Amino acid sequence: MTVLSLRNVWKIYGGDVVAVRDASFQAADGEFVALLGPSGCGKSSTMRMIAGLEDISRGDILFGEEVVNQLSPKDRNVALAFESYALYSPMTVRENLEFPLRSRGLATDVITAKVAEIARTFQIDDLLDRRPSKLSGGQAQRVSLARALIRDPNVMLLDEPLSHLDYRLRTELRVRIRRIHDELNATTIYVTHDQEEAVALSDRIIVMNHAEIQQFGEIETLWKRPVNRFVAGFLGDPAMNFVDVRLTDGRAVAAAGDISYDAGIGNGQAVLGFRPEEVDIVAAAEVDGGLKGEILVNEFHGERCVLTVDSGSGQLKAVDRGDSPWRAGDTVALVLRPEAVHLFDSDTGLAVRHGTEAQT
Amino acid sequence: MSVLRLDGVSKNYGRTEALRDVSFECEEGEFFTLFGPSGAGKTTILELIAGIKDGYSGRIEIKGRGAEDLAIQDRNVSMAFEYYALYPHLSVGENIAFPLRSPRAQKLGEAEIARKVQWTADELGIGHLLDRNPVQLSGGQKQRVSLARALVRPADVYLLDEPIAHLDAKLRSIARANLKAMARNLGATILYVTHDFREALGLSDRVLVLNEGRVLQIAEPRDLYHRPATDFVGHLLGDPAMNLVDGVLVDTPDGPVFEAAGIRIALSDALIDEARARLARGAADIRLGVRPSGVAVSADAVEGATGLPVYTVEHATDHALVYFRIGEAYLGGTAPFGSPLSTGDQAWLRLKDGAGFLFDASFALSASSGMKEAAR
Repeated sequence: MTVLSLRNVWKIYGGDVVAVRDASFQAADGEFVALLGPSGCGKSSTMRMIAGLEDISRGDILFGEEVVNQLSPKDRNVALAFESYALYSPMTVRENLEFPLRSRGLATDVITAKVAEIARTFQIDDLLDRRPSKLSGGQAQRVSLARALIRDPNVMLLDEPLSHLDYRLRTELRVRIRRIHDELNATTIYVTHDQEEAVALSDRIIVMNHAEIQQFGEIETLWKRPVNRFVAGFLGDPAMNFVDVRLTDGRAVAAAGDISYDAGIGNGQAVLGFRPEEVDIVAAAEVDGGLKGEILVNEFHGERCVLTVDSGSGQLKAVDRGDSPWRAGDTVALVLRPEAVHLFDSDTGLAVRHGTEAQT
Repeated sequence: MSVLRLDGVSKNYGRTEALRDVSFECEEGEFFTLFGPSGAGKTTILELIAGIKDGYSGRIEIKGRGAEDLAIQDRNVSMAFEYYALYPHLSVGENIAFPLRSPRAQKLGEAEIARKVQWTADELGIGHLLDRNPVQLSGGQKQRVSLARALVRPADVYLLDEPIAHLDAKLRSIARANLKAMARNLGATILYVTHDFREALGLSDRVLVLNEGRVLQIAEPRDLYHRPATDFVGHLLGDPAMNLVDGVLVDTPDGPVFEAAGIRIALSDALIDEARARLARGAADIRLGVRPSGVAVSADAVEGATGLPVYTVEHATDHALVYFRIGEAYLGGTAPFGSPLSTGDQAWLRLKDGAGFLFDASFALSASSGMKEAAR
């Protein structure tokens, strides 16, 4: 039962390279929190400090009320699964899995049962008698993950635990990770660069970039009210469309004149954003003026289709249903939904407006 | 006339069978994709066509001429490799221009070469990199240089082997659209290899699904998705993956139902006739395939639905995916965004109208990580 808190935590390498800048957040007891960001954003450094594998340059990390800055990794009672696995090479897979249980003095039949169960969960039951050197990268990663989760930890720290697996297996196994979390009710921090994985698994997501936490919130908040252009563009595939606009007397107008949106605010330059999923696609003839263009490509992906539209405001993406009637070469109008249009400051990238609400 | 024709092509490496009786034809201007897990034999097909490998049985024809009668340099094919093979001492621009300067190429002026190189590079989003050296490029950039080099010259067939696999997800989505638009602008005949179902479905006019050297299905993307010939084809296509559950068909007074691990699930109307026919011929063993989008999940009891405890819940930005256990199998369905369901809750699932497939099991589902890995 652990609330995990970071208070103004910094990681500075070599005196001047800031890997983590003033990070503060609190994960509730039993919460599943994703640390999401591109490579080099500081998410792994943050995780390694929580695990005790790196010193904290400044600030405090607390498990419950206790500051753990000085505690060694094993005294923090955390389960660690890292992208680079570190299995014990002289031992078989079975012995690797048994190891954390033996050190806790469990009975042999309990150990055997737990190993069998976790091996089935992560689809490694046919690998139990192999040594780590005989495993593929993806297999070794699953063994590492199984070993971390076999011991009923209070806190699970998982750093890209599925990154070496192919897509199919990754989507299957993440369901089981979430299930294990739900059973143990262990506070979980999950590092990933994959926004879809973060959305699928987490109760809340921390988005990091350039060593700083950009936003911490529930999926719906990040989706509808991203604090800046980075967060807006990082979540979602295909990514949010961005178009430069000029604000004049409360209207945001694109250079090509094909977007005109009642922004209700200010003057000067801004960036207008809308998600490919949140635009209506209609025949060009049905609309006077507005955002129109020729469909360059209509990609069928099964449940949905992704259109690339060559508009006066650049190449834009729009998502349609799987039975999309449009073909490459058709001209369509993209009708923005006022409640799903975002405006960002051109210089700072900060959100100034979401839909019909201004940001303060 | 087809630009490319394979007829009963088989190939062995020693005792290992790499290809078995592969036949297909590509029409002029067609975007034709070889899709399947790694080790399926996709790259071997390209290599036989290009003449990089030989020693096969069956027949390969390029523009109506047997490949065995064509020296490698006389096959007007252009190949892009997954692992780039760029000339390290040449700039990006010179790498792309290389095929245009070949002694066998049609003589072009420098201005024309520069124009073609720039156009091709621009189409693939690397137009700003022409003066760089390949060592300064990321993997994704190198891969696009390799692709540009293959596409810059005219060819009867372009052979593209996983040409955008090393790009990150965001760039891949852009590159996919660029490549498709470019292929159409060129009117090129493309034989494309991928293990990514989005590329296969999104780019292709037709898709050939290959596994263990054998052709499982050749179809247009929508047909492939909506009418997969086997459980394996269904499993390879779509995200989240199609649920596959082994069980039996049971005749009840209300008609046939599916049963697995003691749990009964009502069949959708689309499956009833086929289920009856299977029962009539005594073929009760069945593998039910259904995409999560075809399974409706609700927190309230619904007429004809099956009540089960929730295994766990995943989220997406516009819906929730609710998973159940059925014996050793997992079955996922969709609930509205913000569904309050969570692990351990009782929920109700039913197959939506028209959803689901009845398959004969063609591969083992349980525990076999080797198989699952092969099925990427």
